[in-house]
Amino acid sequence: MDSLISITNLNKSYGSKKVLSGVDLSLSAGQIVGLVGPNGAGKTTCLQAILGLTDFDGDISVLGHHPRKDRVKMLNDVAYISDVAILPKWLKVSQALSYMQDIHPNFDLEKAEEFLAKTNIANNDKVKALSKGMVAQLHLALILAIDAKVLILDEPTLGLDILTRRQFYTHLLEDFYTEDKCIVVTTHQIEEIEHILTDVAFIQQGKIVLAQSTDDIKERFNLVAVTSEQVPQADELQPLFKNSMMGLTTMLFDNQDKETLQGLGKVSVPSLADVFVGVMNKETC
Amino acid sequence: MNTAIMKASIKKELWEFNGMLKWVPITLAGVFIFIPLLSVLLNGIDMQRVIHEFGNIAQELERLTQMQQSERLGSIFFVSAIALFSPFIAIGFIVQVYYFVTCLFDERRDQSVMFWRSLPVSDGMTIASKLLTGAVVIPVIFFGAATLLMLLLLVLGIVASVILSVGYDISLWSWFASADIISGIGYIWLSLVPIAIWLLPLYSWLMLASVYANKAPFLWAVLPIVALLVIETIVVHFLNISQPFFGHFIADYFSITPDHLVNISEEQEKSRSAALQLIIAQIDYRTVLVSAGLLFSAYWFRVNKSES
Repeated sequence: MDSLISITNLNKSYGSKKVLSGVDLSLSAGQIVGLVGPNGAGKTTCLQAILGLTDFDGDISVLGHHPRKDRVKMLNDVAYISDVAILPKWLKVSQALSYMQDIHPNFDLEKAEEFLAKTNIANNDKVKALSKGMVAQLHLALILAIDAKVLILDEPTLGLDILTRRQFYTHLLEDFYTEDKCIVVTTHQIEEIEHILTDVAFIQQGKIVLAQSTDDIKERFNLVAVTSEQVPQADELQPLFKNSMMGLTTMLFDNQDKETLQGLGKVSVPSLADVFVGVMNKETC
Repeated sequence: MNTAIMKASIKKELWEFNGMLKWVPITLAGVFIFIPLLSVLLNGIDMQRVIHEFGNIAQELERLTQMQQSERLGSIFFVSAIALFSPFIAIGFIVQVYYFVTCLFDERRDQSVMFWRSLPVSDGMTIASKLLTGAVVIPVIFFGAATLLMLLLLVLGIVASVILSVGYDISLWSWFASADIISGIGYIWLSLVPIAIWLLPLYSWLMLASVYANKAPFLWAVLPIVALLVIETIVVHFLNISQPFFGHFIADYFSITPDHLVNISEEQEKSRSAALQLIIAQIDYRTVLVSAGLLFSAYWFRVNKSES
């Protein structure tokens, strides 16, 4: 399958501080990729490099375009939400629609209006009169109405309540996603979106420490509820992560034989958040 | 350059500064209309005196018309038009300065720059559209407001002429014909583009301050120039150099001095095109070099300055 986004040996430094170090990623159509990492790991810088918003060393190709040299051409087919609160306060909904219609060759005004008709947002409203959730809906309406091949979301639901966050991702799947498109999303609330992700890439201190499909991750990692008697035996298998609570110890194992693990306790499939914590702990140790 | 995107970008600028660009010229025109009315209402009106003085002016105009001094009549109209346009040009200039200082700063302050830059509009187009809005579109709005006010006053003048010609047998119709009203207003409008080109280095500098400053863009626009001039004055004083380079450069470029008047012939000086000629005479290689350098710097910062 051809890559929509191909990143090879991406490096970026701010002065002497290395922010991205040898990042390699390849994203194809149909993928919904979560780029997950702690604060300051380099997620936003990585997305900005993909979007041509910052200079970088290495090679990035987005739909065959160089993000810095062909930024405008690339943005005809790439949509981006960096943060829901960034629509200017003076803008009216009607003006936003009109402007998008004027400048974006792939913007579908009817689709945006249909989306907005399902909300409480009126055409004459100004952004400053809308709640944070409504601004998010407006931004989403503008972006989802673009027939883009790649959608990049950088913490798109930051600061929104849980209902709005769920609505946001539901609309994303229902109104935007198709098999020929690719979505890249960074978020801290990985547990909320793990059911929609096809792939994840964990990033730590500017390096990709794990990049795999969610199905493979569920096969590869196992969470075991180990009884206190079995803990020494389990420790020998070098768990990635160990958490003791009320006499029960939960351990996360990477690439261990399932039958052996079943002998230690109850084996379950870890959530992406469990794997993330485990992988991050391993890298920190 | 894609004209549809340029038009949309300028429209966006007008939406953003809608309040200022609508209400400042309306208020200014309102001041011109309502202050005399208010004065009349507060002080009362002595109809005899008004008719007497207006009659005197009208008779003088009629006399000049009969003497066929159309050039002088034209000058009278042109000077009146300039007097009417001047406050609009001056206030419009203040609005332009405010626009240029904030146009690239505000979108970074509210972080909407990330939204604008996520759309397929090049940074070059953004800089160009903001420059065109500030340098040409805003003056057009203020010139337009002044022109509308002038047309309103002309309509009132026509009404007064009808009254004078019917009631007092004073005819000003030939004055209207000789005053070269359209060409007088045309000359003022013609100065719009040369003024924009002449002031391009200033506009470019303000845009650079706007895109560079993280806080207080007005200070960034003013302080470096003041600091440079002060340092240069000190250096010149201690090194006994004949004259400061930057100080002389700025003063020479932005002031219309008698040196430049030498190049204008006596005949032209008297004509309505003299002011236009003076402004055009100020435009030279410095305009191009300084503006190009500053605009490129503004573009570079727009492309490379990290906003997150």
